[in-house]
Amino acid sequence: MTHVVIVGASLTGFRVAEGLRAESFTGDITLLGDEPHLPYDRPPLSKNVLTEEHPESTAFRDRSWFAEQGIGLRLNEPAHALDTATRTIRTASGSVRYDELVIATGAHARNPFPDPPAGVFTLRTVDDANNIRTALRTGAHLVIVGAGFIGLEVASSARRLGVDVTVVELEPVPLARSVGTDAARILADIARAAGVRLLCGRTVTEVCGETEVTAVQLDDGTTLACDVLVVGIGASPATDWLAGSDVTVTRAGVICDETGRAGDHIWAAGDVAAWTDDTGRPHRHEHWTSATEQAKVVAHNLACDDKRTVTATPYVWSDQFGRRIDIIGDTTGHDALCVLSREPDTLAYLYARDGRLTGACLIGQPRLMISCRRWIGRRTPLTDVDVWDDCSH
Amino acid sequence: MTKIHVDLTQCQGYANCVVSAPDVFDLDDNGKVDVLRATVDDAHLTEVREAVRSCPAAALTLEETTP
Repeated sequence: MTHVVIVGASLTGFRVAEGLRAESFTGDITLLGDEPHLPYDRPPLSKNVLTEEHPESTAFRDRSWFAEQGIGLRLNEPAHALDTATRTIRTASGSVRYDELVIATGAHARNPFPDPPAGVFTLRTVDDANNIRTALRTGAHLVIVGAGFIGLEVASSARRLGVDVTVVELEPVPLARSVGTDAARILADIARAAGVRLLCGRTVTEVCGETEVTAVQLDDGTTLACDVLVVGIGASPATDWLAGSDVTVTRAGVICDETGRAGDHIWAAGDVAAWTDDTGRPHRHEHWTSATEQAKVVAHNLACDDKRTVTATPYVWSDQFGRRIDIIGDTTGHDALCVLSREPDTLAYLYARDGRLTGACLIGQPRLMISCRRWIGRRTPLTDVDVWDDCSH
Repeated sequence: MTKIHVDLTQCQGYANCVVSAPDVFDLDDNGKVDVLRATVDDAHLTEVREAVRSCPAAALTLEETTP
């Protein structure tokens, strides 16, 4: 009987296991996780897990579900090494043999400050979120490094808790690469209107404090006093355990073809994986929806003879300052821009290239969001996008 | 017979269900899910199951009863 071993028990690993059973796969499934917790969802970690005093668990399923599904769950057992010749994974407490391996180890939050004093956090795990929640008392002074989605969502949650928030961002306009510079300026204004102090074009050069963080020093010489520092400058694929194996790993992640295959009997999906896209280049998506899509495709390709690729249009959302930002498709590299609304409650930016709709950034536009996901997915010519002529180009 | 249950307090209007099963789900003007048919026929079962799994807010559940 085929034994599928999935290394990584977060969203992707969980979804591969679930997807295999949904595809009527009857072999053995083992899910290895490095954290002690049951597989759980991460988007709430920067939101209600920070703002609620006793947040609900974000676990996908309870332990009995895994038993019912015949999914062997080995938690608190990080993978240390891979030997593809003997198809063996060495773990912290032993070894596991596989017939098919799925690499779903995700990514580690980057932190450029080694051995920081207490009060300095990154946000990736539920333990991180619980520690940050405990530190964010009303009246605390929080500095966030990096105004990406995580940084701004933490800023939003902290403002809701009455915390004084300063965000330090390297780029001149935060999120410009995610949503386009013009729309990004409006998102920055939304953050400022919520009381966030946003310092752009600046970096933190030093974290001050002996045992507890007391301040940070910026590259222009400014000192910002703080009791809590959250570093949100992105994540690196968790591939250390693959060192010395013959799996192809670059800075982009585990290199996969368009079906998720990374080698003989090896697959990868989610934040660790760089899937080859339709341009032929490997690309690592770090988003909830792409992780679930890749997991679904890998589960299918493991269980069935026909091989699929991801066909869904990329969709990313971010909840911040009482609004949800929807980002669909590709908002970079456009040659035409259409602005339906610059209002913070109804923001609508559409992006096109070569006469076709390629991307959108929206707030509070449910119907347009669905239409854009369809139009972009079908590479609809602008002549068939009925709202395109309504906007200021 | 399979019935769809919606928890509107959970629904965040991500519309992943609408993308997965456009004949069965839509969003209303408030951005909440609108179930166009409460029971699922066999022709739509696969995509509805996919829609339920694709919900980031776990707002959808299926009740499968034997006829």
